Amino acid sequence: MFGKENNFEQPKEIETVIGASVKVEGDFVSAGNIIIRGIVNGSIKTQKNLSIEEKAVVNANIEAESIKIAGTIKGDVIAKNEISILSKAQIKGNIITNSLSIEKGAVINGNVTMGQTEKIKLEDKDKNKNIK
Amino acid sequence: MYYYIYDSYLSEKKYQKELAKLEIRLTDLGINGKIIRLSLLKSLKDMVLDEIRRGAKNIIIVGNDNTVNKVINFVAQFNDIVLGIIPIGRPNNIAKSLAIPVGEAACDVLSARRVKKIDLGRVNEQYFISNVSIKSPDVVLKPDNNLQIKPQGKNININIFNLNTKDNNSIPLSNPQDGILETLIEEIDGVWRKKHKNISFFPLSKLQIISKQPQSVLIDGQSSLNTPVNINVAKEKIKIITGKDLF
Repeated sequence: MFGKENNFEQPKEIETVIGASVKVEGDFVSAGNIIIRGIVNGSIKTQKNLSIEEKAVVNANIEAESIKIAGTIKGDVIAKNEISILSKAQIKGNIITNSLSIEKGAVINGNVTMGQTEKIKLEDKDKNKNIK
Repeated sequence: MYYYIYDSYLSEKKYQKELAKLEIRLTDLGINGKIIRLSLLKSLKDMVLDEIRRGAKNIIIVGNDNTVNKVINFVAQFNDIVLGIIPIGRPNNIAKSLAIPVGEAACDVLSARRVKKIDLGRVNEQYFISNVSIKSPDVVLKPDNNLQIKPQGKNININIFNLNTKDNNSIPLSNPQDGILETLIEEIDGVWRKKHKNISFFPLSKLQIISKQPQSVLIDGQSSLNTPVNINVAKEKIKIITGKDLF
């Protein structure tokens, strides 16, 4: 997304980056991919993928298509497709997904439920999105 | 017919040679027209609106970013006007974003006439073509009532782009035809060699910026408002001549 040579080229998928320069509070609803490197308090929903990076601190229930976690989460994590938990991840909350991978060293305190993702309805109404 | 609006600072002696060259080039290309010279005594608004009422369809702004911003604020309501830019003087980031070269070379861009319809941003009652910026961490960005984005850090730079240049790799490139304002929040390190770090990026169509103390808001690089401000993509669009088929 950053530093593309071709000016005005539309990114293939719009990305949101929550960096360490911000703290986000409230209900974050997006249509695109999200990368979190900063602090989020509230809830996060996206129709696309979510990546929670190593220094990120997320105090929120999160829902996405697929989720990669390397940071700290306090809240429930729901992914329609898959969740990938990396070695530095710390999760305090329940996990629901279809496919799960966990690296050695990750800390999880909560229940893991597999295969009930058909009940999950990711946010899909334009009027509810506050981030494009 | 083309109407050329010369900003008032172009009456300074140092610009005369460049303007003379420019006028010769415009005549060679067959696109010379009426020249309207702004001065401190003449109202830009009245002059531009008078010419539009008389049938002006092609308005060429000769000046810098400030000139462009002033003119778009009067012509945004007219959807049949085509704008062109001949950048003379600094800053000229808007022209750069549209791939328009400085001075005489811009005449060839006008002659090629690649017209694009692009979005305008709106901040309170003012339009902007390029960006709105705030250099303070003491503000809160609210895309809606349920979400707050609070900058963290000391040297915070907030930019809301409709159109931007590709000078800085930390800045995502915007498409001014997508109805989205790219909101960039970053920390700046260093004085001479600026280092951009901890970048946050939000594609938004509207937001409100509030603060406890009023904070200065730059519109297209010019200081003009204080917080609180409401920013959105305006329903009005402008037709503008660009240097390349950019979008």
